[in-house]
Amino acid sequence: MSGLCVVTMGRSAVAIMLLYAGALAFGAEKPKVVEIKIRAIDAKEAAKVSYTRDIKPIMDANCSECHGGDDLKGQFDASSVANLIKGGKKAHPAIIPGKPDESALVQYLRGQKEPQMPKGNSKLSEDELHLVRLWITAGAKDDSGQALASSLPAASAKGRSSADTMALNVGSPEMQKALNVLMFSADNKERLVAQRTVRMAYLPKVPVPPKVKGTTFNAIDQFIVGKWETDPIAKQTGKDPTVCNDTTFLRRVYLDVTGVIPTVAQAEKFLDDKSPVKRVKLVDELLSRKEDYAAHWVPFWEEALGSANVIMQGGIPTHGNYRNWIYQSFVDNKPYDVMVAELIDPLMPDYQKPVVSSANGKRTVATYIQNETHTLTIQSAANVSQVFLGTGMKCASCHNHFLNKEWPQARFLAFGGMFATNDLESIRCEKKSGQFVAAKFPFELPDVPEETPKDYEQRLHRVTQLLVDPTNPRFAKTMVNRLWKRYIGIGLFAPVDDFRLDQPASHPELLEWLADDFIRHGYDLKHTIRLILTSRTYQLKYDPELEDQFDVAKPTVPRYYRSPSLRRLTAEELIDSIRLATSQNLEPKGRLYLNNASTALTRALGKPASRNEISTSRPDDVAVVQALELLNGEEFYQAIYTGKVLEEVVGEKEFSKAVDRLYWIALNRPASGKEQKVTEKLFKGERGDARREQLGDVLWALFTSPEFQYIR
Amino acid sequence: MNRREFIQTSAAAAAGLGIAGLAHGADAVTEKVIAKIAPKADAIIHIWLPGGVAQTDTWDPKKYTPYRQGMKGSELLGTCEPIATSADGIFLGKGLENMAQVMNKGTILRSLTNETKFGAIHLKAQYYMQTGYLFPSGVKTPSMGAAIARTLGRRDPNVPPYIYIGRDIDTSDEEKLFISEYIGPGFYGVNYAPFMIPDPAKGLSTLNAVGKMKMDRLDRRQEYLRAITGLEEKELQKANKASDYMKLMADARAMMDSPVKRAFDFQKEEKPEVLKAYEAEIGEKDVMDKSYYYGNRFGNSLLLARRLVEAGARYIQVEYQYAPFKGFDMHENGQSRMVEMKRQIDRPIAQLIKELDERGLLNRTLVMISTEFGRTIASSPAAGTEPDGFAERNTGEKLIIENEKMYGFHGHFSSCNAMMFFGGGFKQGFVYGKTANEHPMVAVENPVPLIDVHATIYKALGIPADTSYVTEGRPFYVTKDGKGQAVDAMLV
Repeated sequence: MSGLCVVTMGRSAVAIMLLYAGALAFGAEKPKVVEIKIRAIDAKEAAKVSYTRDIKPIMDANCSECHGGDDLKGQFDASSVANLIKGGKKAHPAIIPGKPDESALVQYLRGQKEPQMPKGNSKLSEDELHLVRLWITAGAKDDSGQALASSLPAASAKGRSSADTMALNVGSPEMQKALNVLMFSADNKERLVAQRTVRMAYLPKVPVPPKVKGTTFNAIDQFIVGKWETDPIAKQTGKDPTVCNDTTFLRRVYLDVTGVIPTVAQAEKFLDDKSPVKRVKLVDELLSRKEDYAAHWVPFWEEALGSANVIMQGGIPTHGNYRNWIYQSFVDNKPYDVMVAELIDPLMPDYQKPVVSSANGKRTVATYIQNETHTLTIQSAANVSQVFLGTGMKCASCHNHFLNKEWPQARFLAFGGMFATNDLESIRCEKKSGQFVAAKFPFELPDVPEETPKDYEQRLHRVTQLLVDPTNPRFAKTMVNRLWKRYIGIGLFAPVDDFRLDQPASHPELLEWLADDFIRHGYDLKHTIRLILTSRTYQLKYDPELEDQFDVAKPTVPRYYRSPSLRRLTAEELIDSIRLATSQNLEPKGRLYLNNASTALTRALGKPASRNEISTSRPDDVAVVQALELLNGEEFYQAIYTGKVLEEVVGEKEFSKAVDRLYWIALNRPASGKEQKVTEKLFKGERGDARREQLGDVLWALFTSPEFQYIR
Repeated sequence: MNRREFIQTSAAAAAGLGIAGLAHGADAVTEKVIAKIAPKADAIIHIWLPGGVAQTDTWDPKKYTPYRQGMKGSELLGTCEPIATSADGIFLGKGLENMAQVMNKGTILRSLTNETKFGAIHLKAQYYMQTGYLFPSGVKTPSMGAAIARTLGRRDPNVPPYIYIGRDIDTSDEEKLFISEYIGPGFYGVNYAPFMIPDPAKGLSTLNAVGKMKMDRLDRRQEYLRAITGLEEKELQKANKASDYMKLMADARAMMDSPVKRAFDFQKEEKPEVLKAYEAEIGEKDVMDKSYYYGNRFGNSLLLARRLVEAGARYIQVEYQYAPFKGFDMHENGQSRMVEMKRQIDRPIAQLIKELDERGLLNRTLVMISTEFGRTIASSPAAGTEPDGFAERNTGEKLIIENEKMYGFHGHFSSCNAMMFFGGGFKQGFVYGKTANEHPMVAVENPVPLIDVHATIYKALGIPADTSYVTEGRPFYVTKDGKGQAVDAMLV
């Protein structure tokens, strides 16, 4: 290990290393000096680190895109311990168990060998790097075959405090690099990311996940179980919930990540897998199915942004068409702040430009931020605040918000002005006052400029910077809260679009922690989604007694998350799942969201016919009109009775086998003895066309049953 | 306390909370809230004639001024003759002879006045008429039909409270989809979505067994569904959401044998002379634009509406299907195109009023006719180039009419519009408001904004104008900000 010199080690258990990066590879050139802080290693701490729980997620999130699956760059596979140790073309072995700082893996991750890994992405946080070193110190053991990731003891490194991270940022090479980008780069996307890094130094200290007695899979569970163990009501009323069975988990996570149920083969593969960490593996596998993952996000964002398929509707300009951009953003797992900036900030390289056209001789502009009139401007501002700040401001557009004292009219109009070419006039209940409210961001962020730029593009640029700033008290929280609602059933604060200071979140510390973690992972949505889906909380068994806790209309019911909510499949989930089930395949182009037609069935299932007003949630109620479509609608009938799979099953000689197959197709499980019996009683005995009809009827009933219609 | 009990026991709270599902529970609640106003009508048939009906050719005729080349716009007052009606002193446009016979049963509102000028944009004006809110309102805005359905609920448990006849929106045409939103339930959700009946002659497909199934097969299939649902995991069986869902599946099956379905059998059950009376008085061969002719669909729709009211429907909207530059959306040659349209609607509407009256239903059934804006002569046919619409302030002094095509030019006129009301607590043989006898033909007596028209309709049905439902954490009213003032002078 030439070129490496350990300098000193202070009381703080942080060592400074001067590294001559690349000295070996580029021996002829003058070595570059890099300063890196390195924490001391505590053997006891090292022994607690688990590959499955702590290391694999880091490798999956940062390395496996290039070093995993089919695509093994440098012939290096980061997806298993054996292959990690083995190494690749450039360095083998990549790990020397017991010797972290001599392991090539660590040297690449640290930038001591070039190119620094992960290439092209933000590097590992010091916490993550420390975990990797701890794990190697303890022998780089593979525990993936031993136990559920869940039941492993929590490693102390998980409960890091932000104070550590601040120390890491200030004066760190990461920070220096960010500052250099800010000074020299002309690319506003790079600058945005660098600015995030710099501004992260202002992040406040966040709550530490509490130590708890109960079983936890990750930090999320620590907060959730912590409340069970300390809240007096929770202690009295609580039963210890168990995790759901594999079939339930399988459908839940498939629908949540890809928007469709699994095929029979996918279900069998998972159910037959004996690995104790198979649930984590499945989450990772599904999250890596980029196209399906992205497709499942499109409807939500199209509705949240008011994206239309056209730029003009009957002479009225729309908010623009963002379908492809949304899809690509999720395929690329674009950082959330970058995505939002591309929508609003004209200075971003991939800014979603307004589309100009004309109708009846008038120039019209389809764009996300509309500001041709006072009303359009405040609606644009209200849309931004609702969707990205989880804050309902529409009420404050023409008077002080009656219900939310946080929003006097002037505060909202000042915000609205940031989306306009000029400051907005105060118009109180349709009466103009002649008074103009100076444009101003409504939240006080540390060390940001007071004044608002006059130039319109600069205004939008500034409001974007403040919107996505790590210190914005609502931006990250709103998004993690939406994820929580999406996967658990209700927001930590609810309604998710209407944060009120007087209606605190059910778990404020968890909300803080999740938001902070989301920011520190570079606004990486997949990171936070993975965290939620691999939590024990997400995997709990459904308990109908606790459904009240998911009712937004009951803000006073305490929420403990001892069960997820029963969630109705959306129109897209339902129809796409049936398409997939009946042919055991779903082409990406066959997804419902790509079809712009609105039919009696899609409307009945809640898919809006158009999106000319934004919405972040669909009413999930059921109605007779919907039941009629399922019972007796032509479209639903065609979807079920004409599939390829039904033809195959009709050819099956043994009736019980045919029935079993239908259960696997629709419900991803075999038919029970009782189910076989009742099926036989009602249907057995026919041949030919009659048999096809009967098996079709069985399939219809399976697709129409609550077990299929709900995610539980 | 389960969800259902919660709804029933906290009436006042629940009324405003926008609770999902459970139509019956929600209905029980709202009835207590609306008990303040005694309703004059229980059902409503809203005849919706989008496109912008020229009021001077129909409900507000002016002095007939025949074509003369070179005449001034200010001289051109009416392109058809006014005709006397069964109501003394009330005139309608020529071509409405059948409606003239029932005019003694209705109220004409001639002074519906708009401050907003919609210019060329039909959709915004239609949205406004249907919802009472200007687009974009910032919220998925429920239509009047959805608001009435939600507030009053069903009259008959087996008849949907909001039925929409005569529009086919199964299309990927973005403009039509926009329409489907503003006749829709908005944030109320699918429980208050209209039952769409695109063509009454074809019935409601979901009420006839699909795939040519026999009813016993359909019932066996449903029996099997119930059986396997009973074998599902206990947790799922105990879930209220799942049991509500299964109950709705049973309700849906019941609807297939309900009075709604029987209402469609009008071809069999109605006398030939009745069927005839609902027919248009002009055939396809006589219309100028054969691409826009729906035969007897409009008349059949009104006949079906009458039968559905008898079956227990609450709110029915019958549309003469809108298409840009077709039908009532006429610009050039309006004088002859209007004749055609009147021959399609006159006899069926009159027949509907007569029959409702004969059957004693008109007292408690409000029939109203509306369109999105009025029409006037235009100073320039270049749509949308004036600062505030087509011809809102035009006196016609500077307009020289050079040919017959331009003689019948009907420009958009947001400033004033007319509506008709029959029965349901409205005065009979009555006119409210008066418009100028020269251009611009704005209201000169009793101007009424749309919000107050809506409040009047709601009042007739017993619904206070400040009835509201919560969305995004705030109340959203059936009239904007709850401020509609009913025009009592139009009511009995």
